[in-house]
Amino acid sequence: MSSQPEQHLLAVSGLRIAFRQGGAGVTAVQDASFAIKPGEMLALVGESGSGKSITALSLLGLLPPNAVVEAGQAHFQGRDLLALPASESRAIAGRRIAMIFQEPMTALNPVLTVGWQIGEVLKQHHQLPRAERQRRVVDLLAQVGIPDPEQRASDYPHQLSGGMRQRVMIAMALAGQPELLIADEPTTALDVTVQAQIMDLLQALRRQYGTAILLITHNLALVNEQADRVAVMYAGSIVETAGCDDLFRRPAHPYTRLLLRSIPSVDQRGQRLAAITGSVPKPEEAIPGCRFAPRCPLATPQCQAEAPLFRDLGHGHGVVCHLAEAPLPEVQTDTAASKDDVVLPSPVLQVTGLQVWFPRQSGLLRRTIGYVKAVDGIDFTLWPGETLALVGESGCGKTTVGKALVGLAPVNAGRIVVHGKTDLTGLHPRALRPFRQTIQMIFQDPFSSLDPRLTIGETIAEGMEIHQPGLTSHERQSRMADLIAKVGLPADALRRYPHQFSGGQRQRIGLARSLAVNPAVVICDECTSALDVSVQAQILNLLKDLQHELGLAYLFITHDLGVVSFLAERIAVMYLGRIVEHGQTAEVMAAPRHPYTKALLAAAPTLDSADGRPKLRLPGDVPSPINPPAGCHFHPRCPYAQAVCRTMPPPSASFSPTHSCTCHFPVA
Amino acid sequence: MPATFFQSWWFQNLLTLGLLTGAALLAWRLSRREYWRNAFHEICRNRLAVISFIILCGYGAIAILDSVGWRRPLRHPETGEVARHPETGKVILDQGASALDYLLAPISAKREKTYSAPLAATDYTPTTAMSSTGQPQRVHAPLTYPRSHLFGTDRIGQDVFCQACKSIRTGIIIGLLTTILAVPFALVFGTAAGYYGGWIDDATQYVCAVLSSIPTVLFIAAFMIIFGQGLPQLALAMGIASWTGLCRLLRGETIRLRETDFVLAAKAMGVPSWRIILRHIVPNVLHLILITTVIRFSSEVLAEAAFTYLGIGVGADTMSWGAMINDARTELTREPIIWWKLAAAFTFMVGLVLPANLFGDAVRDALDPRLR
Repeated sequence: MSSQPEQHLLAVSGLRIAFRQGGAGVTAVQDASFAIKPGEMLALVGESGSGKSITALSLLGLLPPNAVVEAGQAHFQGRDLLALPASESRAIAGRRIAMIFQEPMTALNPVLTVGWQIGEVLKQHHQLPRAERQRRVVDLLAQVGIPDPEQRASDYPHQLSGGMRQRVMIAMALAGQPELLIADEPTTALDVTVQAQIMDLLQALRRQYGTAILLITHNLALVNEQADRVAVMYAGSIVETAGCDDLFRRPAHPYTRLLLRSIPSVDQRGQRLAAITGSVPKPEEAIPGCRFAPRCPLATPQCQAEAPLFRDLGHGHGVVCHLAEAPLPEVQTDTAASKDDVVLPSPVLQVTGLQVWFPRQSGLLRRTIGYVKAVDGIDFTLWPGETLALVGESGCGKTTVGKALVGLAPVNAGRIVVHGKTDLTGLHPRALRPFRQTIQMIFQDPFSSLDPRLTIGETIAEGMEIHQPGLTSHERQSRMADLIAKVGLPADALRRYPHQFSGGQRQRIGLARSLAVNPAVVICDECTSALDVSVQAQILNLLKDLQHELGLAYLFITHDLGVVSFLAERIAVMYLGRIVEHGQTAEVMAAPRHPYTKALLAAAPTLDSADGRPKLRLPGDVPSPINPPAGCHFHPRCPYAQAVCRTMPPPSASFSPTHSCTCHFPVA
Repeated sequence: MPATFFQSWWFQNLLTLGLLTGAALLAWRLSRREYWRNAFHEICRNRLAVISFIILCGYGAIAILDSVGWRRPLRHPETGEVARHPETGKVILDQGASALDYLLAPISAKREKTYSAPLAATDYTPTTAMSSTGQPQRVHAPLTYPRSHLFGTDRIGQDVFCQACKSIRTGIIIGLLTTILAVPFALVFGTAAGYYGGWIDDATQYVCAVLSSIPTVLFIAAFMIIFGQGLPQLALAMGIASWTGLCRLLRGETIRLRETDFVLAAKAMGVPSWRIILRHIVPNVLHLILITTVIRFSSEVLAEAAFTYLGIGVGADTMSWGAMINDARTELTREPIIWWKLAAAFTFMVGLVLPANLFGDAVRDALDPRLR
């Protein structure tokens, strides 16, 4: 791979990093080798625990104290970064190589202005007079596309949005005019439209200054659209390296191939996703031979015994596998999933005019001075056995809708009617209790959604004790055993504690807890977004199976359009507390009518070739619901906005019996 | 003669028995729960915790022995004859003493004249005596009971080891009673304020603010003046003065827990609030209670010393480490210094507080399933 190392800006070879844990060494990165040319964007892709972040941190000498580089070199401009003394590597880190982190919220000091913080970095690199430094700070802020840079330089981090903060981080990284920028999940914490802005910015900087970028991410679709070359990491080793086109057209390693197939998209509708069984092994798990072998459908005895070596497939495409070209087993298609012949009975949930306003109080007497209109009048209907996706960016109120439906947020106005009979709004908590079991919720974070001090059995039994008090303890036990088997966990799970399970298994437990009370509607609040792609596919398959078996209706709250197009029959797109477009998934995906939907679809990276899609980029961020823009909420960011949009709330327009949108000028 | 039933040995024995039965019942109930059984096995595997527990049991046993007692017939000091009422002929009983007093009697009966160093054979301070030649000279007179006082004797020749043993009950009662009084207050008000918010929160916060703005020393002084000096009064006053800190801590933690997904899930399930608090909130704040309790236990014992010094602690008739440290204060200024009373109080306090800390840590870890 590194035949002419002098051409490379950075060439890493044979990198091995281990953690010291109670005397024993645990290998976190094994024999990682990759190289970046000047001005190139290399993506290091992998699921959690693959060792991609640790690899980057080792280059900057930022490893945690219990981690040591055991072997390998990293040649950067002719010097081995790993062999340098700490003082010299610090001189290179930050100046020649800069890093931006995932969490723009915590990477900035909240009590100092952003201008001060950028100036501090400049001070490290250049001896500049004070006024000159001020000017450079403003220049840098302008360079990363922050409007009003003079004003913003004296702002504190909390006054800026997430996207703006990430821009400030990039400005700090650019302060030393680095040749290499390491971006560790730079957009994971951001919304898709903001993610698109940040990636555009990084690409522009790359073109302008020839900065090479090492992009570390778990998002394969993003890599497909942005990177020149890709290195795929799995459980501490690089399993495949290739040019971007090569990797996505002709993936060689079974892991890469399965990973690409397990990403939900519209093409897999009506099929099962090719979920990889199990989960990513922890570094301390000893696996002889190929580390992917236990999850690989092709694994042979050779794979289990002997670690594969790097094989060059030509054109800079290399793979670490014994069976790189062997065909994969076909995915079974879900034949019974066609929904057309299902006779729709009466709706299970009808929501009309739902409003959730949080009062803003101030002063000693807590007088209400205004409202945060988190949800501002939305309507939708849910039939048994169907999935409605509620899509939108953070702050649009989609989670609040879910919480209002299960009684966790106060409903201001509107009706929530279950089974066509009972309106849940305004019911006394005690009168509401019997209806609680109808609507259940699965949460986003698998680590906080289970009580760490209760066994799985106690957690699942809790709802049954409330809603089926007549059950004997024996009946309850046997029903719990059924449930736990239904969500695909072993029977002894009931006696264990949550921390003994992985994220995917915990989501299965959360599902079992909901199913214990026989719900008709399950609200899935971003329930797969905290999971690795391969595990997400398992959960999505399970959700589909259970829906088919039990006739559940799902309200799927998400920002991931790939998951939506795979799972949902209908989509409702939310913006600032209102539904702006509503229709069958196919209709909305193929011909979005609202400019926001169109921008959302354009911003979300996909695995298809990116060239054919129109680039519609939204400026700015989602405004605060405290003081939403007048007229159409979307007009400040809308490229088609006219005078009428600023004053009049838009009317609803229908394009088919199922497809409607609220816009003055629907896109044709 | 005891004035009322509540001051009689009968009442105190019954109370001790009742408390012991209650503790045994609680232990029996908990031993039937798998969660606690696992925790118990976990503690048994930690050698340091087991040693600490054995030491704590020793202290506990001494405190219990010091809490039960009975009266014995009054005997003539020389003939040993049982005294009888001259008219009715009924046996006259003495004031009574605790089981520990009877056990320690062989040691406490060995009175010296004044100070003697630990395990010394002679007096600490020389006295003037006539030598065989008739010359007055300064000599260290031999003790009545040489080499039999582990921690020496005090100014009036009493055995310091016996005093330290007698102080154990006071220390444990101050530590336990204060905690037992403070924790339920803090737990109920802290979790309720944190979970419900609104006016309940406002009211609790207001009470806490008022209580903690009263200087503790003044509050306890006023309390002791109104209700009289004594062990229960002091524990009650200290309990009232000290629950606000823990209450605020628990309120903050409850507010954090209230928003976690597992509590939201239980709410969405329709689980009643009191049940959410009992089942989800309390077990998840238990480690905080345990840590503060153990830390507080030692500071209560020290606070007792300070209050006794100010004259608002337990009465002069009750032996306590605080009283011993106060005595030591003047003894330490003498030349040569009398150090063993302080050493005895210090050794006994460390011997209680250190195992209590170690055992508390072990219990906290054992109750957290994540660490198993």
